Amino acid sequence: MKTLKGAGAAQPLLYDCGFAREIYALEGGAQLKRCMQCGVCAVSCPSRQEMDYTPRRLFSLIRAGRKEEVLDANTIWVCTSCCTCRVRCPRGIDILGLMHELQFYYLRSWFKVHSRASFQQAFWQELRERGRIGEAGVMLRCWLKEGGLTGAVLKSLEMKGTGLRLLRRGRLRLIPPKIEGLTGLNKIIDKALAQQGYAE
Amino acid sequence: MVGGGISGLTAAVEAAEAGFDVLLLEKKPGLGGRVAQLNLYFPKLCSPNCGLEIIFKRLAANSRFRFLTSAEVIAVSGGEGSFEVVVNLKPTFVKENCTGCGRCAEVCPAERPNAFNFGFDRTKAAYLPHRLAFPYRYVIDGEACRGPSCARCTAACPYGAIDLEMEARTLILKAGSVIWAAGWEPYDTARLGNYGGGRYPNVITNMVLERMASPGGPTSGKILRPSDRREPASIAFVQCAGSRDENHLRTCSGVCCLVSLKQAAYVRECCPEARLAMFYIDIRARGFYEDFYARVREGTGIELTKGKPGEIREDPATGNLLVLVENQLNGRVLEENFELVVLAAGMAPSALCAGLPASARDRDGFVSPVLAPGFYAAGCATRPMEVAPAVRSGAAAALRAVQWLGRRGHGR
Amino acid sequence: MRYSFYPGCSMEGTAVAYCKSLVAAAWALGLYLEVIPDWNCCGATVAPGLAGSYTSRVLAARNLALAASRGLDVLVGCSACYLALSGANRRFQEDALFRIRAKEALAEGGLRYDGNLRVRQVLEVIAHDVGLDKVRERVRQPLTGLYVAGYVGCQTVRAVPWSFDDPEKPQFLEKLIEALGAVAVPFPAKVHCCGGSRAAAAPGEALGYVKNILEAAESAGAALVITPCPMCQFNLEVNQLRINQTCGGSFNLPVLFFTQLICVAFGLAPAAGLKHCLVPPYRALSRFRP
Ligand SMILES: Cc1cc2nc3c(=O)[nH]c(=O)nc-3n(C[C@H](O)[C@H](O)[C@H](O)COP(=O)(O)OP(=O)(O)OC[C@H]3O[C@@H](n4cnc5c(N)ncnc54)[C@H](O)[C@@H]3O)c2cc1C
Ligand code: SF4
Repeated sequence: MKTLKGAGAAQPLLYDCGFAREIYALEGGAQLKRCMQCGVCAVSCPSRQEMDYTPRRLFSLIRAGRKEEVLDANTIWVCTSCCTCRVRCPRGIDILGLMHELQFYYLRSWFKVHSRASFQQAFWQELRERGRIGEAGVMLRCWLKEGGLTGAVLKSLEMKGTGLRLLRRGRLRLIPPKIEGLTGLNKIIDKALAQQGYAE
Repeated sequence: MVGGGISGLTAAVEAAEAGFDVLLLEKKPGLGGRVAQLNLYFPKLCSPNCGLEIIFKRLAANSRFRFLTSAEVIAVSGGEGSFEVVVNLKPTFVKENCTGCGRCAEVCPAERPNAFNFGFDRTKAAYLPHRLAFPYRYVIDGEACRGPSCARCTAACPYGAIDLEMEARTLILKAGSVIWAAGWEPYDTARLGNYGGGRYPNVITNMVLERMASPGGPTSGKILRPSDRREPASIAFVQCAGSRDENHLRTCSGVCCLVSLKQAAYVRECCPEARLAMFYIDIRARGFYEDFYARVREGTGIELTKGKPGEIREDPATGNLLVLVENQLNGRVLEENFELVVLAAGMAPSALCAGLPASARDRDGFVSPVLAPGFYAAGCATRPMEVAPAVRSGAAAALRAVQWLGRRGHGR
Repeated sequence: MRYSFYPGCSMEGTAVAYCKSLVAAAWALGLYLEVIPDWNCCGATVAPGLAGSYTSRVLAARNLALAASRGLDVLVGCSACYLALSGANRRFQEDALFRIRAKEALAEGGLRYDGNLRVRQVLEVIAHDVGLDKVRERVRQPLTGLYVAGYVGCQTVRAVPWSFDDPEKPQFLEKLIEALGAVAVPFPAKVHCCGGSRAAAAPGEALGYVKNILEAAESAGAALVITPCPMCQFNLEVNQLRINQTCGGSFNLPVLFFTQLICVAFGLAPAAGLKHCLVPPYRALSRFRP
C-alpha cells in the first residue's frame, strides 16, 4: 500500500475502479470477482518461480486498479496453460482463460508490442490465411516477426538440425493445405470480433 | 426418527416426553452418531459422553421411546400422516439378551478393521461397537465372521445370545411423521489428490485425530504418526480440505476451524514441544467462539498462516510432508516441512434415501428442514453445524412433528 | 461404434504417427472414425490470447457445426484441441447468451450448431465405451517385461476433471499399459507440465521442465515413455535432443503416443508409424515386432 507523505494526515487511498471494470467486462472476466485470495493458484503453477506476480496477486492488483503493474508483469505470458490452477481453484475460476483474456486485453490496448506475442501473431496469421496450422510456417513467420529477414535466416540455420530431422521423418509439411471453407471461416471470425466491438 | 446422532436423539427425547410414540432407527450398531467418536467438545473442552449419557438416561426412563439399531432406512414414501418407511435390518447375530461380557470376542478367531477408528486398529469379528456403546451389546461383523462352521462364540456365550443363522430382514413401518436426522460423513479426502489424502500415511483427517486423541481410541490417547507410530515433532492443520470448494463441497463446514483450534489445544497438552501450525483461508469463529479462538491462539503458540495450501508432497524416505502455501499477508510462497498433516475434512451429508424430494436438496446434498408436511429434517443433514445447533434443530424438528401430529389427532 | 473424428493440425504435421496409430488402434477396437470434413484449426491455447477467448471458441465451434448433422460424438486425440473444443462445446450447452451470439457468428459462414454433440477424448472413450477388458482381449503380442512410463501430461485429464480420471493422480494410462501386458513404472512426474506451450514461443524456456520429466522416467527404469498429447510428445522428444546437444545430456528415451504402443501390442506394428520417431524405439520394442 502506498504511504502518503505529510504531517501524519491520513488521506484516503484512491483506487481506480475503471481498470477492474474493464477487466470484468472481458469474456469470463466477471469470474475474477469470485476470487477469495486463497493462493492455491500461486502454489500450483509450474512457472511460479519465474512469475513476477502470482495469479492471486495479479488479481488483487487488478482490483486495486494497478494497471501498469498488471500489464508489465510477465505473469500472463509465462502461463503454460497446464490447467493445474483451474482444477484446483476452490472458486471454480477458469484462471487460464483469464490469462488468455488478459493477453488479449494487453495486445489490444497497450501500445507496446509484447516480445512474447510474435508467436501468437504468427499463429493467427497462419490460421487466417490457411485455416490450419503448419508448424514450419508458423515458426518461420514468427522468426520473421522477431528478427526480420536476417533474423529468420539465422534462426532457421540454428534450428536446421531439428527441422531436417523432422522433415526426414515425415513430420514436417512445408506448405500445409488451405481449407476449402476459408472464406466462411474468416467471415465467422470477423463477425465474432465485431460482436466484441473489435475489428482487425 | 431416522438417525441416532445427537440431533436425532434430541428430537426423539423431546417428542417422547411430549407424549408421542417414537421409534428411532439407526444404521450403526450403537447410538450416539459421530459425537460418540469425538474426544473433547469445543468450546469447553469437556467430554462428549456426559451429554449423550443425559439423553440416554432420559430416553431409558421413557416408555414411549423404542429404537432399532443396525437398521438402515432406505426409502420413505407416502405422506400426510401415513408414511411408509422401508428399513433394512442388518443381522448382528447377537440377541438382545447379550450382557456385554465379551466372552465371544475372546474366542473369536476372525478379525476386522475397526471402522469406528477409521481402520486404525482391528477388532475381532465379534466386537463391542465402542467402549461406551449404547446399547452395551456385542455385534458380529457378518463379513469377517467365519460363519456357523466356526461357531466358537456360540459355545462360549454363557447366555445363549448368539444366533449365527440370523438373516437380513426388510421391514416396512408406518409412521405419522418422519424426522430425517441422518447426519454427515467426513468428506472423502482421497479425492484431494494434491493433498495426498488416502495415499500418504501421515496425512490424516481431523476425525482420525479425534479418535487417536480419545482415551478409548486406538492409541489410547497418544498422538502418533501412522507411518512409524512415533510422536510427531510438528503438526500442520490444513483447513477447508474439501469445503468451500467448487470442485468438492461448496459450503463452509462451519465447525472445522473450531475443531482444529480445539485439537491444537489438546495436542499441545500431550505434545508440549511440538510445533503447531494452521493454514487457513479465514478463521471462522463466530459469535462467542471468537473468545475461544483468542484463547487457543495465545495459549498454544500455534502459528497461523493465512493461505490455502495448494499441494502437499511426501518425502518417501522419512514420511515427512512438505506443505506448499502462499502466505497471503506478504505474498511469499512457503515450503514447510511437517511430520504430520491433519486435513480439516469437510462435512458431507449422509447418503439420502429414496423418496426424499429432490427439490429440497441443495447442490451439496443437504436438505431443507421442512421436506413435506409431516416430514422434517434435523441436524447435520440440513447443513454442517456443531453440536449445540444440532440439538436445537433436533428440538425444533420434534416440535414441528408433534404440532403436526397434534393438529391431526394422531400419536398420543 | 461410430464417431466423428477431429484430428487437429499437429496430426497432419509433427504428430502424423498419432493419427495413423490412433485410426488403426480404434479400428481394431471396433471404433469407426469419420473425419470431420474441412475441419479447421481449433485455436488451441494460442488464439485466445490474440483474438480473445470468445472468438477463439467460436472458431473452434465451426468444427462442431460441421459435425452437427451427423450427431455422432466428436472424438479428439490432441489434448489442446480437446481443451478448446470441449470448452467451446460447454459454453454452447451452458451459457445461453454465448449460444445466441455464437450462433449469429456461425451463421455468417452459413453454419449452425446448437450444442447437441459430445466432445470426447480418446482415453475417455477407451475407458467408458471400450473398456480395458476388450483391450486386453485384443492383445496379440503382450508387451511382457517392457517398462513403460505413462506420461499423462496436464491438459488431457484436466480439461474436464473427473470425466474419466482423477485430475491430480490419474491412473487410467497406467492401467492401459498393464492391459497391454507391459509394466507401468511408478512415475509421479506423469502430470507435471512439460512446458510445451512455452517451448513454441521460446524454445529454451522449456528445457528445464523436460529435463525433470525425462530424468524421472529414466530413474524409474522406463524403456520408453508414452503420452496422449502431441505437444508433450514433440516437446519431450525434440528437446531431449537439444538437451543432449547443449547441456551434455545423454538421454535416449523413445517417446511414443500411447496409440503406437497399442498398435504394437495388437500386432499392428506396421500401422504404428514408428518410423516417425526421432529417438528410435526399435531397440526397446525389438522383442515385440513380428
Ligand atoms: C472432526 C470433527 C470434530 C467435531 N468436534 C465438535 C466439537 O468439539 N463440538 C461440537 O459442538 N461439534 C463438533 N463437531 C460437529 C458434530 O460432530 C456434529 O454437530 C454432530 O455430529 C451432529 O450430529 P447429527 O445428529 O446431526 O449427525 P450424526 O452424528 O452424523 O448422526 C447421524 C446418525 O444417523 C445415522 N444414519 C445415517 N443414515 C441413516 C439411515 N439411512 N438410516 C438410519 N440411520 C442413518 C448415522 O449412522 C448416524 O449415527 C465436530 C465435527 C467434526 C468433523
Ligand atoms: S469452518 Fe473453517 S476450515 Fe471449515 S470450511 Fe469453514 S472456513 Fe474452512
